[in-house]
Amino acid sequence: MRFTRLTWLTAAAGAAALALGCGEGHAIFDVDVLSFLGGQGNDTVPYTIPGNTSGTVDNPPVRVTLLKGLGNSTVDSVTLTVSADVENRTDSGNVQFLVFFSSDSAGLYSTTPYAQASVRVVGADTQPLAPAPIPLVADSIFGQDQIFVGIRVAVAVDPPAGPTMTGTLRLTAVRLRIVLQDHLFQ
Amino acid sequence: MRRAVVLGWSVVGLLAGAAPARAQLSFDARRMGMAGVSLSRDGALGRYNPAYGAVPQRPGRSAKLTIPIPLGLFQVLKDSTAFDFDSSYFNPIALANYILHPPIFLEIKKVPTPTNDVEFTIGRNALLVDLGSAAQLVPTDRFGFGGESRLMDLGATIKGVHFGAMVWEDHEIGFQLDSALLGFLRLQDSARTNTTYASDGDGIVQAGIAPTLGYAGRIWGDSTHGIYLGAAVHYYLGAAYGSVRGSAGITTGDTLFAGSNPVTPAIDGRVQYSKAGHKLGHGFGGDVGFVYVSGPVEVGVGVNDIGATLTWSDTRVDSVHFDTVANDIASSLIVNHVTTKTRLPVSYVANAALDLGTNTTVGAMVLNNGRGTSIQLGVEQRVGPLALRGGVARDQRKRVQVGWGTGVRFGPFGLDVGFATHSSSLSNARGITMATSISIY
Repeated sequence: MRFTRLTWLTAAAGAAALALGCGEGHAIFDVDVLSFLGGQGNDTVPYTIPGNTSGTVDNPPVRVTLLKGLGNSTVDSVTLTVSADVENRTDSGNVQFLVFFSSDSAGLYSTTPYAQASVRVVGADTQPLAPAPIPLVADSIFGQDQIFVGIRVAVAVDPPAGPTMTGTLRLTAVRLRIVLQDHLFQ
Repeated sequence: MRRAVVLGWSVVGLLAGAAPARAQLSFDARRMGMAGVSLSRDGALGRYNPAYGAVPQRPGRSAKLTIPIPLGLFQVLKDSTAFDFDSSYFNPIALANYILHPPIFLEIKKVPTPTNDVEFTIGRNALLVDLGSAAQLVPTDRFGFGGESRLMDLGATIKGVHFGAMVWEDHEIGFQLDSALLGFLRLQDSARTNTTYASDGDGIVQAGIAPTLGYAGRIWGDSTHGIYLGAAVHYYLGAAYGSVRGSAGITTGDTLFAGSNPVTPAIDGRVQYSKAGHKLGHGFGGDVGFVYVSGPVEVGVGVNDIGATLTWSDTRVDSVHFDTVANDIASSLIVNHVTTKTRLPVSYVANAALDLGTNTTVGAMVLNNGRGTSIQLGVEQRVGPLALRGGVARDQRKRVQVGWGTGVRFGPFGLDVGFATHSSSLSNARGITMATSISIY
């Protein structure tokens, strides 16, 4: 039996397999996605958008470790909790962030975003973005042992505009709650 | 297939239980109703005290044959939760409980199995597991199971001299989690970097036959007041054995879920075995026993497998480790065709019985079979053809168990029902077993 990098996680969770196998128990994963983003310096997205235009800034995809179900799991539900502060420095406009998930990094930003929220900022201003927990589609990618997450900031600068709209989107919380129904021996 | 394995395991025990006197296993509802105490000087006491081979049976009390009625097997056939692997309701705990507590008799109160969600909290440098009520299944001290059985005793007894051969087997498996792994699984400690999480374990299985020569006889007194001695010498011939000892676990790197240092399995073990077909293991051992009977009082002491050490002259020893290059478990030969030794655990039994003269008999037994001590107290009250029984015991896990039951005689036949609590499952809760058996007097 060859060992993958994550085999130890499966072994450590082996005791959980007994509980998972006990009738109707679920496996619930509470993933602090922000710790993965912040560990690689991707918890902030600076933007510099020329006046009277709009633009986007994409962070590099970041790999997030999940624990794949020990058998053929089915994803019951997924909830995303995300919040951020928009620290605008110059100019005014609408700042939107979009959250992407994908099973591979190559086509991450070509997929449909799983969540988005926007806020209007005026001048030197800090505004929070804290939508309520967002139920996501129970996509099978959340039953894998890893996913890739991407954060995109989309800025639309108000006319008449200054030379550039600058600021930083600083993520303050990104958590995934994934509920799996594990089928150990299927 | 899986159901067949469990049923086969149970049927083997059932057949052994139906064999006469000297066989170890006894599925007697009378004993179950008295929390395991035997008052009838039957095979249960004779297994551990060879002097009982000479003690006269209690008139009208000792059965020639006891046949268990295996209602539990029908229950197993109907139980899907332990065998339908493909179903969402499959319960591995239920299957494990059947293996630990063979389902010969009916479980009228099954040990409850935990059913709950398991929650994982994951961060770049954090992993925390909340097993909920299932955490109680994680053993805090050494967990093991095993036993030494004399599956069959074939032979003859002439004027107190017994010669024959017994089929024996011995198995023991145990493990203990280290403090780090215990904290992670049971106390919801977050996993830490550069930390080893491991479990120490060991196990042995050996089996064979043992030609036996023994003697049991009364050395003083008469049938109402006497001292009986018994002894037996066994020449153990081992057909095969295998043992393993070591530790297995993982060592985390600088970062749990990122970074360049992958987690490394930590496996270090030693496997020893002598296959069937190789040279037989051999060794001598013996049993001794003593019984004193004086009117209504009876006291017995027995010791089994004294000095039972087997020498295996063709043993292979391998080491087992994790090969970081191949990223796989690997074994390598340490030495072959060498001599090793194994031992059978020594068992001690002390029992006593007192006939109170009002058709009431009280009995007690203390048994240490090398894996813990059990203490049993029981009483039987006979009212005409009816018998009422009760008892209390402390099992090897030091838990109190209770038994109760009844029986009725129809001439040479007796039908008995006994109920007993047990903790021989993967849980701290007790189950209740209902045993039924027919005795022929």
